[in-house]
Amino acid sequence: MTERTLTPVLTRRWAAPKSWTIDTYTRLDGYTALRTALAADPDRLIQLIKDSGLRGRGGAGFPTGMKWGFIPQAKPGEQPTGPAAKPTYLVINADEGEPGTCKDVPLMMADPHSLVEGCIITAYAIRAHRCFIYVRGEVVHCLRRVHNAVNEAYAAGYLGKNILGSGFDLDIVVHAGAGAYEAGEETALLNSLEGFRAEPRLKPPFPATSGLYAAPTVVNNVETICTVPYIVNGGSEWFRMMGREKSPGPKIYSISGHVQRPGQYEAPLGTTLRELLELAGGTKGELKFWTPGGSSTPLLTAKHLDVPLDFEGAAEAGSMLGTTAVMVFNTTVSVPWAVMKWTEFYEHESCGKCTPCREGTYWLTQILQRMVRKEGTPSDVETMLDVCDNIFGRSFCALGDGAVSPIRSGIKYFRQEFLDLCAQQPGQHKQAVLSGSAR
Amino acid sequence: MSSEEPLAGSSVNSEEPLADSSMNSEEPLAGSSMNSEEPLAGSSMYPADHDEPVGTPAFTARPVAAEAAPDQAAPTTLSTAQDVPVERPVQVDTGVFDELTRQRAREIIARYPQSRSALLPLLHLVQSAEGYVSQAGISFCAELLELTTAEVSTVATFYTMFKRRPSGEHLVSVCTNTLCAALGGDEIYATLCKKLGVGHEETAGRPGSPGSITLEHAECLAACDLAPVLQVNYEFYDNQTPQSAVALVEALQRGERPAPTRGAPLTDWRNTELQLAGFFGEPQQLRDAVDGPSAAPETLAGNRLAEERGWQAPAMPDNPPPLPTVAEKK
Repeated sequence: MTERTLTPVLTRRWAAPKSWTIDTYTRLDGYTALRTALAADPDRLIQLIKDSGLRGRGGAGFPTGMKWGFIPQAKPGEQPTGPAAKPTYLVINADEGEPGTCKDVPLMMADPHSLVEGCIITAYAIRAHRCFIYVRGEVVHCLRRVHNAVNEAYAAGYLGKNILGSGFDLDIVVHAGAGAYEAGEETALLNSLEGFRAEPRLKPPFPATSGLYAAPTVVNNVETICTVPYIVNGGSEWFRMMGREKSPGPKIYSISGHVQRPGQYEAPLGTTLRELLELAGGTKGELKFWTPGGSSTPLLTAKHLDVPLDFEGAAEAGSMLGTTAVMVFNTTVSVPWAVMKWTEFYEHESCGKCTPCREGTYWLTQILQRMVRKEGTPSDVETMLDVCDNIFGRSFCALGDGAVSPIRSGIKYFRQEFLDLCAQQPGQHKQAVLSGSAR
Repeated sequence: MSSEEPLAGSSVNSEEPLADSSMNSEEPLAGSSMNSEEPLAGSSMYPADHDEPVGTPAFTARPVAAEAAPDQAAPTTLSTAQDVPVERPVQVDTGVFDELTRQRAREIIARYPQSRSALLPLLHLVQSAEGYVSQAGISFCAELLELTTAEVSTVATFYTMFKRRPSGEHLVSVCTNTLCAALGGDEIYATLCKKLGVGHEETAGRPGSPGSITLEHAECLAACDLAPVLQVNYEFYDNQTPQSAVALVEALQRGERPAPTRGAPLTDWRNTELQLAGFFGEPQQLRDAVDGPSAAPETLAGNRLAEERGWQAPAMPDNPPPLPTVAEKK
């Protein structure tokens, strides 16, 4: 347990020939957990996932079993009332789009049946008879792989009516998105799936009682659901042999940027950047800054090489685990420039529903752009921090909080780099004008 | 017709008061609404709406009113527009959508418990038929789902994959988010802009003609380990350089279809849109497309390394352990 190496669980089948077909999947133990699950009491399945300590792999790390347990269920023998009387839905968030994040796409391409099997087990546990897999539109190859896997599962009797003679029915619809980062937020995803703009909803009510079509709904990330069959087969003790006490299990770390061998590395939660860099053959050039889990997680630096990358460790270091999208940048990259690019992203993807995020990301972009043009003013750094204070915690959903992460952390660790840009050509900005100020 | 049409239409006839009244009726439920769209966007959250079909009578009133008084505003509704010449909504001919497209549209709607869920796939279908979301496409979706054109427009304009102008045979999307940009994505995009003589969401060549290319810069395409990446019709071309990208678009302009690094054999953008609507062709076509490559060396980097070094996850027990009993509620 002390030696932290790679632990291929979800990625185990990826190198198999035609790993995406049902033949390969079943040959490599696929759909065995389903048989176990369908013979079990659904409540005990939920308990298993609670005991395993599985936490959502989409970024927030919410305990998966607890989420399932929130779905109102009628008591045996009683007439269901309230939300329990409505159909329950399972919705898979496959709208991967957080900058740096590239784990669900290869997972769905290589092993779509593990997602389908996970969906069936989860739907059975929460007593849902309809499941929607919301796949990001821009990854059409994932869409067809998942679509094909669903077709194959129907043909094999794993989907449809009376699955494997259990009396349990489930239909899966594969749904393509249309280009909106915000649709990755769970309530925005539900709005999008209902045919509206992908704008977040006020919570409460939470999806567990008022989700899709105002009915009880579980929304889970792809990697989370793909983990479920392994927990059913291996048990919670096996699962807890990997990772740490509060963040157990294996996790796909996606390493990108200035490293020798970028790629997907599945390792126990709690692996450090130092270990990951060793696996990826080291950096290209000197490490300057990195993100533990996408652009919405505050930047870290070379001082943080030994931070255990699990939910607690990343938080203690002042960041977040996010999606374990480890983007590595060397000293050739300007922090203000990188922060500007990310802020342009958040400005583009802000859905516009709430003012702090819509206006804040717009003005932050203007400031950063002029700063990178070397037309910044000395007060710009403070202005940006002030704007960040007015976005963080004041926007409707987490997009706003994510948008300020690169700025705040960039200034925290590299303030001088921002100030230098403002001071470089002081004569040239007699009256610095924000280009959008007439808007 | 311009994209303002749905707005113009909504301001002059029965649609607005009716739509308003339905909004108002929900407001007490919705609490303090964030903005005017909130009650609509969240309407299905409330139990009263749950079992209703999407098209309530409030939303079907427009065409009826418009037909009833061809030369005048519908007299029974708005008081303000009675004695002035009134601009009526322009009737858009949706005849460009053939019977096959209509059949497919019905299939899409049948997938969902509530018809409005079909809107995004329907807009993809419209793009596959017309090469963009035209005004006719907006009306087509509105008719099928018993929505107003304004309701369809507000969705169509929200999502970046819905194009409001005719697009090229191919869509080239270059990731210019931070990581790709730092590794050369910005340079690739700038090079292609110059090469094609176009900017973001502009088309080189007559839209739809062979070899025409619409260029766009894209946000993170979820392939950061393969940066810098670009897509043609949403198929991946990984680890690009300005030179390889130029060679790629030149090949596309010549009518060639170079194979993607990861993805199905290249077709054209409209065909991809048809797949996004959920239609993958004959079973054999789907199988061939599904078998397009996906595992780049980067994808398998960890997998290969584990194999080399003999690393494995802890062994599972031979049989699944018994499931735990349910904990008592505290």
